[in-house]
Amino acid sequence: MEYIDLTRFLLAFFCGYFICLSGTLTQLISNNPLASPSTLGMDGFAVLFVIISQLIITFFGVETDLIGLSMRFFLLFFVLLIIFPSKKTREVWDTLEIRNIIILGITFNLFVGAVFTILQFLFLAYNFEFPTGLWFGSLKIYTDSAIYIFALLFVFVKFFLFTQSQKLQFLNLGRSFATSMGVDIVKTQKRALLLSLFLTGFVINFFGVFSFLGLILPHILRRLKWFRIDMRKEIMYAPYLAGALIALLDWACYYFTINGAELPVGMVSGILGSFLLIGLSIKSGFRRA
Amino acid sequence: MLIELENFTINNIDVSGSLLLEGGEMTLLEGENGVGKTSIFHELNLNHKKYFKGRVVRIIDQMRLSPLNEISFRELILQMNEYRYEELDCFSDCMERIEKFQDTPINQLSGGQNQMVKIALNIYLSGDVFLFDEPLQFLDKENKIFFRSLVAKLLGSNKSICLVEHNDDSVKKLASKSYQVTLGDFIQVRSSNGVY
Repeated sequence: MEYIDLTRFLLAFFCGYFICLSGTLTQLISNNPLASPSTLGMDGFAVLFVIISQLIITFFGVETDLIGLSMRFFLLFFVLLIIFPSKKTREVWDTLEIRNIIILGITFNLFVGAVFTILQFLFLAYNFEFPTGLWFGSLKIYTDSAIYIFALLFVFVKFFLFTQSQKLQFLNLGRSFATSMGVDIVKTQKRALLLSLFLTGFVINFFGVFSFLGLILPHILRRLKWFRIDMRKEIMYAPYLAGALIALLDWACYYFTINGAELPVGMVSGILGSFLLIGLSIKSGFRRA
Repeated sequence: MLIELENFTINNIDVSGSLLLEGGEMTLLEGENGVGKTSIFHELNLNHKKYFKGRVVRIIDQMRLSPLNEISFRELILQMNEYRYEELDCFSDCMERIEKFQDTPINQLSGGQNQMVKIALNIYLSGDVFLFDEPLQFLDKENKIFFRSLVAKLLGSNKSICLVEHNDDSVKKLASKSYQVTLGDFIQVRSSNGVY
């Protein structure tokens, strides 16, 4: 019997953890149960870096791996955005409200989808390799060093949650209530949004898109008794369960192959999660789903 | 004197004049729709540390409590216990009013029930200053009467109240003073004699 590598198991856990947390944060800051990294354009944003990297590799013949290059672009963007924002960027960022960001995100998602389709057509027309596997998150290809990067990000996320979870709990009850409890809602919302974007982009750059898992996982876990009434607990602990679920599903994908081919865990978890959410929604009479 | 707010700025619009809030008194903010009454409340709420210098402020406005999860009022106040400022006697009156739906998830309550839960939550948490921005929206006749008695009890507990209300004159009768808000090149707040 062949056992799955512990590194891969842990990477799958971190992917589930980050995606679930990213979904919870987007729903919380937009106060919208239908919000997710996918619907807000975060998937599209991260995919854009992969597409740009693939274009550079294909047309300029740069000899490097796709993940490494797209990750460098992605990190560079964040460093420039956070450390060296121009005066104009700061002004735009300060005046942006969360509803503007949501509209921008949805529009951006549509834009990237269209660009992706055109590029895919052109790549195929010229017989170039195109990263179509990007749309189905899979942990089939990974490097051992990735676990250190993911573990480092995990430590940062725990620190963020330690300082922000109480504020996010107040924000769950509404903007005016959170303000009267001393929360700077604009700062809290934007910090959570940036983290959500970073986590989603990070996972996508390494392992591809886990489409709509960010929407489904928080909804499913929120129905558990332990998280049903306590948003702070949901933020702090539900992602652990999500991580464990994805790690187990990835193990199943690795172990139960179809004619030697491994199903991408992003595809399997998306299908199972959708059915589970529909079933739970029917059972509860579609109260909030 | 509890608080005096003088010449402040809201969304880059200057507010001229001063607003005096005192303990045990209710102050009315009056003016036409769109002159900036709610904006003044939002500014006071957002920068309450600056204006109220350590005093605890509660705001009850027209925004619903809309948690993503299925928390009920009873469960919510257990979670909020550690943030309670002080115990107010009138909270037990609030509990009587919401007894029937205190175990219903807040996101499944009607507009009026949601508003009552919001009032009860803020009374539970308590504070020095209560900003009421059209608090009677969605409330039925009985709850409006209850709200008037609640305001009277809060004033009896030496709380300071600032109220914006367009429809119900009877609650305005409890006000000690009123300010007229007008909008020109800037928002103007000036004391008026029109106390009911």
